[in-house]
Amino acid sequence: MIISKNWLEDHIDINLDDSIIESSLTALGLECTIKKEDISYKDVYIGRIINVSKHQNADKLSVCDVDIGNDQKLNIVCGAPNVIKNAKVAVAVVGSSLNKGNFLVKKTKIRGVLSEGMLCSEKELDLSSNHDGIMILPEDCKVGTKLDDHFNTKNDTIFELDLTPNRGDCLSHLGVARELATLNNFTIKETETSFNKDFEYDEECTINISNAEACYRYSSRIIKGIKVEESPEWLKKKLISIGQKPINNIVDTANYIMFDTGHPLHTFDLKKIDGNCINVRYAEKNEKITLLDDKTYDLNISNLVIADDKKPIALAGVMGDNKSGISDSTVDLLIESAYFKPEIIRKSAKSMGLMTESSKRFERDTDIESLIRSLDKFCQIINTICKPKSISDLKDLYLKKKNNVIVNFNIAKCNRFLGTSIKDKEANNIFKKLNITLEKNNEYKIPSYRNDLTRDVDLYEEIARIFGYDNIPSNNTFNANYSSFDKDELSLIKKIKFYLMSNGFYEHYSNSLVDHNNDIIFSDFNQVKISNPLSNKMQYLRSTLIPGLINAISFNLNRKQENFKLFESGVIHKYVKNVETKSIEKQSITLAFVPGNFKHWKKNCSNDFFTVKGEIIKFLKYLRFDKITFKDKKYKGFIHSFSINVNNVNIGYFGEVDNSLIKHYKIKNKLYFADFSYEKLNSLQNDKINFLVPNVYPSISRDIAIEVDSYVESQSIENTITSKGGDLLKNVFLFDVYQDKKMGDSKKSLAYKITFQANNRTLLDNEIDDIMVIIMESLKDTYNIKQR
Amino acid sequence: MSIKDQTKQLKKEFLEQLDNCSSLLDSQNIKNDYLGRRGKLSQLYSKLQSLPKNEKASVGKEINDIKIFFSQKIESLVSSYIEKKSVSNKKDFTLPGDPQPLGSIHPITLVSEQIKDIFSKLGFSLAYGPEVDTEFYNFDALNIKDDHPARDMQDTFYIEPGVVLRTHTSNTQIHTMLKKDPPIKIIAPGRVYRNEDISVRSYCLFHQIEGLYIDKNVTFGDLKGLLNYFAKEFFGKNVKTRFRPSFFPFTEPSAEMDIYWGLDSESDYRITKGTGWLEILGCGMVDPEVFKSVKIDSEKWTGYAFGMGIERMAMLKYGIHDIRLFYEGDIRVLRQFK
Repeated sequence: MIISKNWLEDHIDINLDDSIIESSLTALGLECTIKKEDISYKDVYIGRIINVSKHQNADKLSVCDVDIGNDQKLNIVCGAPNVIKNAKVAVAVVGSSLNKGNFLVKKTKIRGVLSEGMLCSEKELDLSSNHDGIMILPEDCKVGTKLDDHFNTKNDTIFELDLTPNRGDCLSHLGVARELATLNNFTIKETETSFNKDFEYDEECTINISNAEACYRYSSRIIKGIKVEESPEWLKKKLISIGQKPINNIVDTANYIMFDTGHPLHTFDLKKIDGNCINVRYAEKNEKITLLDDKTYDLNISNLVIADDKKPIALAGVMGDNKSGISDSTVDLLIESAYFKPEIIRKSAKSMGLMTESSKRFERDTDIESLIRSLDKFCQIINTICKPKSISDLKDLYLKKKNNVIVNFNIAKCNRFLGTSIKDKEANNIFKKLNITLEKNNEYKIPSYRNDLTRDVDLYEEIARIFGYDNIPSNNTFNANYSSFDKDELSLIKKIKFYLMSNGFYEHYSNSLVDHNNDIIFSDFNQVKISNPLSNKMQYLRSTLIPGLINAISFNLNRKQENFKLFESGVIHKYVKNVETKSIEKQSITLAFVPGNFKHWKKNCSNDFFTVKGEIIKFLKYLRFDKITFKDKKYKGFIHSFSINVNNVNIGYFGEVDNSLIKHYKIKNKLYFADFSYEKLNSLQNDKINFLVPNVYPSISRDIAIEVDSYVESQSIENTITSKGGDLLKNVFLFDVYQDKKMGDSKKSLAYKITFQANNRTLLDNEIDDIMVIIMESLKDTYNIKQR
Repeated sequence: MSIKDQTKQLKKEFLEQLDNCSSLLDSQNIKNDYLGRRGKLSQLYSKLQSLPKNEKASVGKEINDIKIFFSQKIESLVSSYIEKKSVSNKKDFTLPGDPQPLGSIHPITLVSEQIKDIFSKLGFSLAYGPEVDTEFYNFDALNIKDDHPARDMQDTFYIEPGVVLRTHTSNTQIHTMLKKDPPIKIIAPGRVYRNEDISVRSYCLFHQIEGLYIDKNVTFGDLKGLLNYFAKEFFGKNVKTRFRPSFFPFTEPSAEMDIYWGLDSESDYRITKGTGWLEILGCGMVDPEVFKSVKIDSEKWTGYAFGMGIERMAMLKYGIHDIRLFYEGDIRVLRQFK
């Protein structure tokens, strides 16, 4: 909401600095910033287009000769579609600056033709968002005049308010003035309206409200014998000062009233109302309406319309149709000031995808008691500025009464709630400033424009607001009831994150809205689909963290980063039909390895599959797991992959990505991923530690080297050794894997160190020899090995 | 200062430096400083040119003498170090250490852990809610009625009618209150979604932390105390805060807390809209309508709630200007956060 200080002063005498107004309104909850001290256009003049010709090198550009007074003529290239000969326009000459000094107008050649300035649109002048063409000024303004002088708005201050949706009453200068009035006991100026009422309304038109629960009240007057023309300067300036575009005297006056009192009015050309009757009703099935934006809308039975004898002529509270409104030929008009139920207007506007200044106010609720005041203020202005032949008496259909809102308020309760000790008298003083009046014991009447106040807590907020949030004492002690304490079910994540960081992983956060095609490479789940996505690349919720990590890997590889590790911890989603939200969410932790070679003066290293495997074991040991096993298992998107199991419970998997499936990333490096279910990691957590007294008896180790067929897996040999080793075997350690020409590809040599130890005595060499014989025999039987 | 004085001064400095010299590297540096091609002595030589003829010879000789003196001194020192080295051991201890790669913690995690720590200390437990939720939890139970303009404050992603990607962590308030009886004292971090175009300032998702405290006699003054403490812990002891009225359908009274950010730079002007104040979080007293929808007696219990955006806090804390950086995974960005 844009507010002009000059305009505010129509309602209230403010003797406050701009910055005080700014901070006071903000402190009252109307977040305020000073938009501009004044609308000052340095070196922008009023000019006249003397001649227009087509640009020789560009179809859409025109070359204009512009007279800017003082015998100065400029050659200006302009792209606007509405340049016409003799039009009066705003000319920014070379050296002038627009857009608060951010845009400097320079002498330039545009497609080979010299341009010595710029013809400005309203947007370029910060007057409105209109950039459809240049601003055409009224014929009567003087060429050579500075635009500043023309507008004479230098001494105004423009405030921009960021209003919360509950304060519809502040969508007007009057509303903001009322708020400012609470500061210093300022008084709101009352304006009397007076004009002659010349004829009986009922002779001209009949009004009928079919649905009073949607339209509580409909008041109107008829004005005859008007001339539609440009608005007088004062009115145009008012509207321009708050960024509105002047249209004609009738529309401008209606808009002026809306921004002044907050109540939207609507004007109809009386002659366009078929059958001289207005009916406020719901639309019928299959009815259509073409609105002022020239678009045709299908109406539904929940749309409230203003209809004449034959058809809807306005979508109530939102917008009129494109025929019944004021046009240059309008002579007689009907002015409407009505109260519509907010929900009805909101539904209508929303279903049409429209938001107008009018619907914005009706949606936020309007002041049902101010209808006549706004209507009459309109008539008074019209009476002054366009001298109509006659104005009718008032037609006011008030079918559904809106009761006064009475709220029970108790200052002691209020103080308990706020933590204050405000006295009764002080509270009443605050209420007085807000026009909230005491009816009887503790019962307060709310003014009709404050539709947001209905409950005691709403009044607590009013007390707090006027008392000042910053004046409420801040309590510096805190309470906590033990029964409110709960265990953090995700606490392990923090531990994991800091472990991974220490071990060289960078933490990544990826977008959970993903491309379906990337997601299904790695996932068997059904994806959760968004019905109104931002783009088809972000249409699904991720069901795996892997593609997000691949995106990041690709990003970094393209920037010459290599040999790095990433991880992400986050929620993945799985579509499940018979769940209310259609989604099951799980916490996942995924590690990504992009191994590479690195050279170091001590030794050159290469990270590979076994580095990854080692890191996974270390990670799981950190989480206090020890029975860790890997099983060969096919996972989607991987060439080699293995399930990871703790105590025979599957907790995740790891493997090497099948790069042929992610060709579109053009990644040449091998990529390894390890994926864990947080739920599993967490549920297997055990804070028991089985403490053992260190064994005092010496251990005995034996090394064996065996030659075995290449296809035999070391894991199974190790398993055999372990199972035959008995209770005394404490550790089996593979310390060498070896192949040479003599053996050929079909054989390999494995060397193990096997360690034995007893808990209660010193072992004898020969008992170990016996065990070794059993182990070797078993290996020979099972694997066709040769001892070396 | 005459050249003569300068040579004197130089000699004095040189001898001091020799006294302080403690390593081969030091002695080599000193040699370079004084005797090198661009050293202090050659600078003196170049000044000879400007002298009258009669002085040139005598001053020149003086500089030559000092040069010889410097060379002898420094060479003997350098060789003494080399001797020592070769005798004591041959190992080069300046070779780089073994690489031990260190990773990083994402700035969103860092900030969120910091915020969690502050509130945990004050007895807040952690609670979590789903990212995909029904309109009941995300809107209706929070008094965000379908027919109220407040519903438009957030652009919402839908899975199907009635099922949304949560637009705020406030859904966790409802889940918690339906599961648990008061007193309740929780903070709820999590990921939230808005159907907004991706730009420097906005992303289709971000993270929030929500707080909720329900007990007997909880007051607005308690809320102010809590958040003032939070601001001091997070932004530093000298932070200036202000509370101003705002509107959230699920709190009444509602407030926003600003901190004074200052107006020292152009970017300060931009982010504070020229006021110097910066909005940090939204808060308020739990609205009786919310209590009603979770069947808590608002005559018996009162409470407050607050919520803040983690990315916003991280952007302020680290001076990050582009929100998209958080989700790119650029390790040149990430490695700066530990």
